[in-house]
Amino acid sequence: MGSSLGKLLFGLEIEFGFTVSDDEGRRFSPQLALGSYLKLCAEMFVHLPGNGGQRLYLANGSLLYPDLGHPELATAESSSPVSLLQSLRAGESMLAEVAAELDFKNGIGSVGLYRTNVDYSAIGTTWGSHESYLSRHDPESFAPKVVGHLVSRIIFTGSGGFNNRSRGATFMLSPRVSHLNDTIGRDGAGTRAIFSLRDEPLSSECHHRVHLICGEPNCSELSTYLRIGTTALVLAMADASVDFGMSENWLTSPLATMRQFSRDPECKKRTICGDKTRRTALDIQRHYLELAEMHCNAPFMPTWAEEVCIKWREVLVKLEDNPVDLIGSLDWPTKLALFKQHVKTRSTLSWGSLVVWTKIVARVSKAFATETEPWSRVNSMQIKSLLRNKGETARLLKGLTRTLDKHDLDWTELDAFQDIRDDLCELDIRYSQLYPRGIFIELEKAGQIRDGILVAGQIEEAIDRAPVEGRARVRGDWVRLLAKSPDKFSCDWTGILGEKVYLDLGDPFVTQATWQTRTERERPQRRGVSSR
Amino acid sequence: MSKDIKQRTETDDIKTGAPADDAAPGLTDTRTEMDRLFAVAAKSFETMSAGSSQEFLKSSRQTGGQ
Repeated sequence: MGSSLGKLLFGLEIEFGFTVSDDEGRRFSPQLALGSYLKLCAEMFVHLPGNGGQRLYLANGSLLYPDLGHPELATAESSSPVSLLQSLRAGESMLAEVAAELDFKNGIGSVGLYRTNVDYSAIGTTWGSHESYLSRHDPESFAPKVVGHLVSRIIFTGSGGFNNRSRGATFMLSPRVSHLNDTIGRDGAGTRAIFSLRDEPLSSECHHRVHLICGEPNCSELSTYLRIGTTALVLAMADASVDFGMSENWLTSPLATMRQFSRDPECKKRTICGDKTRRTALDIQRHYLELAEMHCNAPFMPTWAEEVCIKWREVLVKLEDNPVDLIGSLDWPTKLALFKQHVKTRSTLSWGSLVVWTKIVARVSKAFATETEPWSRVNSMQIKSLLRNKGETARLLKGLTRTLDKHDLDWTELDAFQDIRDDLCELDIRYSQLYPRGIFIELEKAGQIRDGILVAGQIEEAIDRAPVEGRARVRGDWVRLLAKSPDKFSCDWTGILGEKVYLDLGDPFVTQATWQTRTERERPQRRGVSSR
Repeated sequence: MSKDIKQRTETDDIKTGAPADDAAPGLTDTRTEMDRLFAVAAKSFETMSAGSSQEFLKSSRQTGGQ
């Protein structure tokens, strides 16, 4: 990756949940609401338009655009995890500001903006946080080396939440995992792979782009920092053909392993590897960490490699020794603690009983085929009535009654379970809410979030300008200069187009603007530019 | 269900689910910190969550991602 060894460049795309509803809770059409929102963004931010749609290339190097009814942000390309985090937090802050303004102007309802991961409205939606890393070689050539890292990194990158493909309350380190369905593959309609092979470089021919779609948005700065930092180091080593000391099929069943790890907050479950060893997610992470530490000073590694390795090791040690220490630092341990506390203080049920009720509700839902009307519930009175009948449903319910008896549970608690399940799902969404201010933001303001990465002023700095290294700075500075003539100039990821001139940004590391006279024929064609 | 918050301050052990009173000595400071964290989160949730969670989940149904 990169035009020279040791220089990396990467970015994030984040899909934000977005709603506008009236005072009665009725939602406005997503397209209409998003159109109003982006129109306001265009009024509030210095930008140049993209080629089509409501794409806004911002002066801080980011790109804001509509995607399937929600806003999506592509951060400025960055050369360090701190710089990327700055760009991300700056973008979130800007989007929240626009949501507040829309709320104020709208005056007829409420606006909600979420950096959420999954939707619990029974549709089974997931929002991604896609990662892009430049590479020198075709990602397909080193993908198998990286899969083990992506499968096991969820122990510190997981956003925490519940499996939204079930009507129960199964806690998962990474709810996104339920939506992955391939190990290495080309993402497309219905396909989400752990390692995506979509290679759209968005740059000159000597570059490739690793585009990962297995990640999810985090609130914790430490989680995001480690997600980007550790993955960039692993990819840099893979791209440099480092011997990873493992066979190509090191993990015999990566998807199943990832699902297993995602349901294991104790991080103790083992998976069988191709070499017949049984390893935990921590074991696998330690393997990658030791490789990175060993190559920290290699010419293909970035200057910040050691700093990332130190934090990486600290987190793995805490996960092994006492995960409680990570409450208030990483997302999933914090959320898990909040969920447990919520059940303890608001329900007659115990946290442990939720596992049993999840299984019971899955069977009941299936029997009553309530998937067709996701919001309908079967309540305890109906169950009691049905139990007096004969036939297949009554037999099923009697079997389930025996299961409940074994755990000292009773059908009268079914309603309490469904209530607390919905409560927990709301808590999850409220945690990540960007506007109005959600739980995580309030915790940050109250000094309850530890291990933050950014210091005062860094977010504001990234609102104003793009990172120093990389073409985003060149594009952003020219966007600022040309924004007064939006009808005469437009952008894409690899250049700025004027009526008669063209600025080629095909080299991701370009530092100087060289404007050229333009004819349509002369304009460079890039692979993958259409997607940006 | 009732949204009244019971005045309980014990914390679960994340690994075992055991009540905090069963936790090893020396964790008092950690528990106090967590109590503060729980209090801030509970207040924030209360402020935002006015109606039933089921209704909120319906109204927050969003257009999907990739």
